[in-house]
Amino acid sequence: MERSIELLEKELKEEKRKNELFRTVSLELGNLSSLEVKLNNILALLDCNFNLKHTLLLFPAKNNTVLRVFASRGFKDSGIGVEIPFNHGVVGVVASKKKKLRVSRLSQYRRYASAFVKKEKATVGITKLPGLVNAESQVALPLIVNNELVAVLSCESEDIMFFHQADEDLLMTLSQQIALSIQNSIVYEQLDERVKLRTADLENLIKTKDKLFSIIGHDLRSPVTALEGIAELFEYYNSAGNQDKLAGLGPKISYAAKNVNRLLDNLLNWSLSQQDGIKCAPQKINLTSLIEEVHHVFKDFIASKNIQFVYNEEGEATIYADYNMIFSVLRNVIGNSIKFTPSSGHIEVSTMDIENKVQVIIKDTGVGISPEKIKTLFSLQENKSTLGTDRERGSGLGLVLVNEFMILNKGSISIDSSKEGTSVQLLLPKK
Amino acid sequence: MENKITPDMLPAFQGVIPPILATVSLDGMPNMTYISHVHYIDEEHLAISRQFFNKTWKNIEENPNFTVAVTCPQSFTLWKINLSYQKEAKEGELFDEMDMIITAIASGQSMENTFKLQSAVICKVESIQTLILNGKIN
Repeated sequence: MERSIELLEKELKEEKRKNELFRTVSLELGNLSSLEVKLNNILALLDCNFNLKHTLLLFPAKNNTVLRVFASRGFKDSGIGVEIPFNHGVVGVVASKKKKLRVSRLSQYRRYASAFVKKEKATVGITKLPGLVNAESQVALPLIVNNELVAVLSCESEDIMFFHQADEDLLMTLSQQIALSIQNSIVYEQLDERVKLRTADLENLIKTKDKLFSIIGHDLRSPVTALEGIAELFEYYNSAGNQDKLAGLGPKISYAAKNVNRLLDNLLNWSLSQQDGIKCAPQKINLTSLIEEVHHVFKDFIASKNIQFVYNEEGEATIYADYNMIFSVLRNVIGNSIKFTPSSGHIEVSTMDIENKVQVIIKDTGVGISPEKIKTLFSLQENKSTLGTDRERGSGLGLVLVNEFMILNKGSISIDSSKEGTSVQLLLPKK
Repeated sequence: MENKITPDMLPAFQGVIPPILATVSLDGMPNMTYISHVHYIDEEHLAISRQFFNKTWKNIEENPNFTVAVTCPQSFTLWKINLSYQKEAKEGELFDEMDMIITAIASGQSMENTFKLQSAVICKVESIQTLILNGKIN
């Protein structure tokens, strides 16, 4: 009777210890922390509560073909990153079978093996995991959630009798909690990474939006102010009955309105392209007629600066691209040439077949672009725009758009420039 | 004499102290060998792994009654267990479980080609005798 009470008391004490252990471990494992911190905390917990001084946590990697050390405790060499194949050694076999394993008398097996290895001249070529030189016993537990291996916990000891069935069972009970906790930390880390990426994306978007507003603020204001000034002059001349001056305002109004229109066009196209709003719809395009159309758009502008415009066509000059985009590209590039070519200058547009592409060269006798400036032409920066030779204003958006449209059409753009002029080469696909 | 494995005997099947397996041929020639461990199935059944022991296996085929001596690594109690051969398992849960430990040890020592489990030899516990208890011969 006395013996039974003694045994019951012992069992009760053991149950109390287990409950306390579960409570402590559950509290710690419930904490949301980064994976690295979590893994080190788990190993520290096992050390403090189970006296497991030499432990490893390994994660499956490379499509579940290897186990990789992610955390270790108590070994001379931490071995972080060391890999061991599935089905190799105690941890490898535990990983592939998803079952716990306890091995004792390790030194005997080592001696036995070394005798055999010498005898059979076998080769040992597998990477060594961190481990105790004189390990006598090892327990490896698979940490599983929803039948999926999350990690393998390996514990070693120099004591042949270190691991008892009761401890092993308790560890197995805890292993589910540990596995869940590790999985939560993995998810947390992945979410954290996603949030970081998303934040970076949003920051970029905000930056782009800020730049866009800055450009709008800087460039749209001037032509609108000019229009406002002309409207005020119109009102003034009208009230003064000055018909000659009033008639002279006509071309100025037209020019200012076209300027605003072109800028708005560019801004709209660019902002749509930033939101994946512009879809590239390639078709066969006759470049000759397209270049003639662009020439027609700028006819008055070219004439006002007395520029000689020449178009040389070699080959078929048929491309496979989006009509509106290439029209916009040519308008911008040729418009720039006109803008930066002084009066009585020369602009030459030529097309040439190069294998499966068509090269369009727009060469002018303009003021040229400095190498520093060329570097910034395709990026959106504040106050990038340069006044033309007749103080024509731009938005700094034109070539950004051109580059985006060329990429969308599987083409490319390059610029050579000197004080004698600028040459823009466009390469567009034939099909 | 008992004929069921009791909970206090379980540590003896953890493979800490190598058990001794004794068989006898049909003509009465005994054979003794150390084995890595005896696998506990339930209180009435045990299994041993068949890897090499050609002589032992020959004896078991001739004479299905044999003995294994197991030691508890905590109390050092020594039990003599008389077994009778029941059947051989070359697949299934028991085989996999026993194969796991051999594969783990063999692959860890680059000896997977040398050590392979051929079968799990399932035996019935016929009788158990405690030979040493509390450091004294029983």
